[in-house]
Amino acid sequence: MDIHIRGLRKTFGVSPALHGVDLDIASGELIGLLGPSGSGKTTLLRILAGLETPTGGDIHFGDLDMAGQSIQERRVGFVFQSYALFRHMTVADNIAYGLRVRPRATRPSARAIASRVEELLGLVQLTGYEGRYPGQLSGGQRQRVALARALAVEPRVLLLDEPFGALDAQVRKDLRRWLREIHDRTGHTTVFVTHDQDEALEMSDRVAVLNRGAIEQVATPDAIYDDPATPFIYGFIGDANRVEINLRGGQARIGDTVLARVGAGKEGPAELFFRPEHAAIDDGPRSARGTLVALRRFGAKRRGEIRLDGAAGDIELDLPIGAALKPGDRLGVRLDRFAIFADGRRVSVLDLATRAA
Amino acid sequence: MSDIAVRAPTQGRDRDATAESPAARAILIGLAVVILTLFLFLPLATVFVGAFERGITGYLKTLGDPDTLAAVRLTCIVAAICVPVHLTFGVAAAWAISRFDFVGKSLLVTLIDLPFSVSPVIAGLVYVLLFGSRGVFGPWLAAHDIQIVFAVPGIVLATLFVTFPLVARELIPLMQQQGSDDEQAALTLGASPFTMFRKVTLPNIKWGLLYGVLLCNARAVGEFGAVAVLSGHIRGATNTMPLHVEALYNDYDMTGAFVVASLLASLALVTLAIKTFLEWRYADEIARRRRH
Amino acid sequence: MSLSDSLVKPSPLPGFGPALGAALLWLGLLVLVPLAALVWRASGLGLGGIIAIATQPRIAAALRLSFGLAFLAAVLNVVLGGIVAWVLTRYEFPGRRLLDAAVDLPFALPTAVAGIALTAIYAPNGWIGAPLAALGVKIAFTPIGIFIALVFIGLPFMVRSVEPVLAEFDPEIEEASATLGASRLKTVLQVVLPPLAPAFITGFALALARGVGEYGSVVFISGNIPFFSEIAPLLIVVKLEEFDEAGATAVATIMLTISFAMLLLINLVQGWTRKRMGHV
Repeated sequence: MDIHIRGLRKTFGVSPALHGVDLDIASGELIGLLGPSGSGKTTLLRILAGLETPTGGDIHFGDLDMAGQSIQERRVGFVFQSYALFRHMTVADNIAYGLRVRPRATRPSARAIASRVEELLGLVQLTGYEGRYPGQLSGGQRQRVALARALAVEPRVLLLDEPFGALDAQVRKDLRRWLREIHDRTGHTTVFVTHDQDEALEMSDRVAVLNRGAIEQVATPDAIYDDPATPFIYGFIGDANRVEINLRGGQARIGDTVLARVGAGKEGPAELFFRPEHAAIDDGPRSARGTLVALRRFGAKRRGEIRLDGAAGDIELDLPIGAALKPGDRLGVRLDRFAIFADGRRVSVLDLATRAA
Repeated sequence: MSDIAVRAPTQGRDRDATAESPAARAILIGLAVVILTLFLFLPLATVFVGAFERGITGYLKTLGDPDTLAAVRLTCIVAAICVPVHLTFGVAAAWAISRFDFVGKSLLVTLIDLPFSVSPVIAGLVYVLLFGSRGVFGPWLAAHDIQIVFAVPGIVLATLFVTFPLVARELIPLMQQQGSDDEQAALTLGASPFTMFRKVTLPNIKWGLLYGVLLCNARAVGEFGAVAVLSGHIRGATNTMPLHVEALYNDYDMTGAFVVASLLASLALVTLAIKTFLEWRYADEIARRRRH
Repeated sequence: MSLSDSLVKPSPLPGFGPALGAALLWLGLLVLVPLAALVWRASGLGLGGIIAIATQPRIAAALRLSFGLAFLAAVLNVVLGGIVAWVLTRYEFPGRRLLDAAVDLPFALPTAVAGIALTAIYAPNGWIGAPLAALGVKIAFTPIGIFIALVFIGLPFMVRSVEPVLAEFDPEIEEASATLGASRLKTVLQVVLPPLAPAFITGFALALARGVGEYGSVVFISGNIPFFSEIAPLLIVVKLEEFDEAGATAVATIMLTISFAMLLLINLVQGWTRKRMGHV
């Protein structure tokens, strides 16, 4: 089921939680809502479920307008952060709940419910656990019961609120891959909320990045990482360097040093962002000059802190492990990929790698 | 638990989606108001309306009656004995239970709560069996001309029994919850046990202590069943205020009974007001999980 | 390892000996020795003696009345206390705080005061008693009056047992039920109330125990007519006034035995329910 969100607004008292969100989700898509806490991502998810009433805007599931549709009528599968399992019911009763509470006319037979439960237990790999109570399960198992319970009602869309938030790192990693598999097998349109960028990038077909109640960018994980649309995304996802520059005569400058050529366009103060891995040591003519301030081991790489001539702060750069460098060395820095923003708007992007190709 | 703590997690969320319809809500609130009015407010109102049946002068006249004053005095004496006793021993018991692990601890906690499951009348009876003329110590007491049953000591003992758990059961969960880190820190800093108790323990538990004392005092003043058994019902001598209420009632002096009752009801209201204030203001410093 | 080390875990804190000693002295003198006197007197009577007294028609009637009405009052309090607890925790409305504070009134109000107030209200010339008397319904000086007094005395036990559990109930559980298609009523009945069962059972047990032994708030409204509205605690008082200490002891022993047996039973049910409700 495809979802269309137009101009969605939500205000709690006087504080706005969402202002004017537009989002189209294709049928069968797995989309991650990524943002810091307070960005409105959970509010958006809860509005989709009908748990919150929007202040303005509209939502369609397919052609069906959701305005005035109660939670019960929406048929969404919602997996809560705390799982919200019914502690006094067995695993099987939890999963069957959504079918058993249907009005008699639409309720499947007891036998049909039992076989559906059986099938879902198989899907979430909990066959044999039907008689257990939630209190007797591990966090990961509860998560899977919550998912099975949500899938039991054959939801139009599956919504997950921080699905892995309460789990430890290893379980979380396994479940991510597993959830992706389940999605690919069942094909539900799925929206999940997370504040964990790795989770969003790894699992999603597309990621919608939210900040302060608005969507900053909706794109594939590759595009979000390599080609962020806003300074916020550069800062929020992955590592990034921010350099205050001046645009003058088609050049990005720090003081008198030319950092890059960007072609004619906007003039005046601006911000240049690039990722540590998108720059290299190069003494060539297109490089900016600077001094190595410090060297640190950083996982599989070595990271250098470099003070560019004329700049106020330091930038970080990935350096070859073997390079014979020491603090105090003079060197040139070549930017292979960067973006320049003026007044928060992107004015220029350079991607030497693709341009060279 | 304070309202703030309860409602904090839901801030910034509508919970309308899972609320009852306005009609259901209104009916339920209405029912609650009716229930509480019928069972709580109406009796309270009766007491005060009844007390002023003969106007303010009639009210003051009953209050000034020597028997009434004697009852007030006796009630104050009883409370003035019970509260300090349970305060002292309640703190000692809570200290032993909350700060140490020892064999039989849970049995001790259960036994401290025991008087709550015993009818007040039975509480009175056990002292008759112990100190009455045909009781265990009866002959010995008679030989030494000591009277406990049907006298003030009996009233005090019976009240001590029924108020027994009140201070301790407020302190035990509170002190268990607070843990002893502060006290251990004080000791490592060189404080003597007495200084540690005065400067660290007492300030931490003072509101819980006050809470317990409040409940203990209210019960000591208001106890009826246990003292009814042990009092000689001698006006001006062994009648506490609740017993005096009964005596006036039995005289068909309803107004008089309500006058004395109104004093007790006022004390109950003050107790409730302070209790509510403590729960609201010092929610974290009185026991989190209150058991009645 | 010395004996004292095996009885108490070593601790850097001072004062264990004196504190425990004081606590045991206090408990022993005020509670255990007096109760031992009751047990001693009861054992003097022997099981046969106690049963012989308990089966005397007047005593049997009083015991039946006390336990039966306390049970019924606790049952009604499950409903009334449940509604009050629900309203006080779930809804925000003017006066909520006042109502919440007032729930404790039966704890704070001396029982004799409650007793004469309830009697005055429900007496044939009282605020509620008069209109009901006109309809031919008599409340004061009948078992119905006792029942009302026991509901009064038990209500706060129920409300205060259920309230904290209800306040901490995870709203996501209710939301989950709604997203799965359950109507509000089904959510409340199938998802919210069952986990509250242990709290209700606790409140029930407390209200029942208190009701069985209650004296002050009942003795005025009951009218104390033997075989009709005479409660067991009053019978103890009557027996003592007749200097029949054996009779009083027997009635007290039976009351305590039945009460403790009921509390034990309720504890067992409680343990089973908690397990069933997933508090593992």
